[in-house]
Amino acid sequence: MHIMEGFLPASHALFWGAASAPFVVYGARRIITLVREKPETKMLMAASGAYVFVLSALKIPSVTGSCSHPTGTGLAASLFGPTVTTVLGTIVLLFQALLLAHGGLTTLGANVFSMAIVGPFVAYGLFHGLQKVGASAALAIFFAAALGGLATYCVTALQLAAAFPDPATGVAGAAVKFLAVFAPTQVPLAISEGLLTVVVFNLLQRYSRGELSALNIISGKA
Amino acid sequence: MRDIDRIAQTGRWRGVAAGEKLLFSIGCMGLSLAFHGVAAQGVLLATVLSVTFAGARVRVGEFIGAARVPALFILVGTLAQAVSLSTGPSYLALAPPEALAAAGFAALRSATCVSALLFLALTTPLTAILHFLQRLGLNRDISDIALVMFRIIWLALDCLQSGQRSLAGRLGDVGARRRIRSGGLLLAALLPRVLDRAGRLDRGLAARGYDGQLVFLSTEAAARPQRLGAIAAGLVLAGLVCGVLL
Repeated sequence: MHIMEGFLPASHALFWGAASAPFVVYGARRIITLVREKPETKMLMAASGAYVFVLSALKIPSVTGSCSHPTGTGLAASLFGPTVTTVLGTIVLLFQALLLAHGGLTTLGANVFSMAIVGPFVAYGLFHGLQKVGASAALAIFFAAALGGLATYCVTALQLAAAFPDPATGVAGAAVKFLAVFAPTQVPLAISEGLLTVVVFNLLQRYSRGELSALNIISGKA
Repeated sequence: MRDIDRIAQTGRWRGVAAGEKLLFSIGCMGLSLAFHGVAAQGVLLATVLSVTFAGARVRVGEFIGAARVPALFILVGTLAQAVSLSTGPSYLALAPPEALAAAGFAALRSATCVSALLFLALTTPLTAILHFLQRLGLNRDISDIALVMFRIIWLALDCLQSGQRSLAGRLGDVGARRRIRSGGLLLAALLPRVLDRAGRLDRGLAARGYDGQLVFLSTEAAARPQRLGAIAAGLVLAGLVCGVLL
């Protein structure tokens, strides 16, 4: 769920830009170091970014009869790691703003924070946390993708609530309103994305082990 | 997505320097965020639309087509602000007049900024903006990744769309369950292809002496200082008009 161009006041746009910047800079430095050490990872990184973009172009079922696009943060974070996903996600969000008019330049910081930082970190933490406590990989990836998507949507609703507090009930009331307005599409979408990610993950585990081990280089697992 | 890129690649202002269009677009967004009057937003919106339609000759239908999704978000976001939570039987009440005015203003400001964004997107190919950012000092490795990513996206999308057509032909998209399974199959099949493409690109580059630095050809005109000055002066003038109207 992108916040559209100009929807946030200037102070909020600047705040979210500043909040996102350290994560993006850290991720970018990590990528630059990796690319300097192993130049061949540059192509791998670009291909991974293109895959993240295409992930968000796939239509999946949302509310009965309608379709929507997944965020792809759960799968991307589990494949590429959260810090790399932050940078790739930032590039994807810039592309989406300029190729689809989804999101924007003034709201890039806010969208990066919800979709390229909170979503991937929540997904990555859940994926590894659940596996550590003994959950199966399929269950872990389902919750990582579904709750990563939901976390993105909740943060977006909070960002909107902070910018437009309810006259009677303040930021909390506005958060309830924005969560309720977008819930009919976002909650089924998160569940669909969780299920889709399980299917993709299982197939990749079964048939694409070589590719997954190549990706371990950029996710830092190698 | 292909439509916006096609319009930008074939538009009348394709040859105008990306820096000049970026300055105008971001300048208008900055002014829109800086001024709080409805009249000021009206002036800025009219300026952006005039330059887009009369200057760059973007077709109205193409502009409206690209603006559909942002317009839907603005509408939903504004409706959420137009109601207020209450303890009454319906739990919802119409927001007080000042809150309605604020919601309307946010929608107008967003419409102005979306128009400025669409001006940029519909007149400037993404690669031109990336080359401009590279000249501005964006890290070479990051900009290389973004430029290669942009090229691979089209190939990946072609793969995805032909896969979707093929699945639809075999009724793989009938029902939510089958659609999720088909989508999963498609994405799982796509990752090895995309990575294989990256591997082939890398081998091709290695054969040509790749040392970690990619060279992209660019036909972009460099921004001219006089034109940049004229755009900046125009923005200052627009800012003064907005200030007077405020």
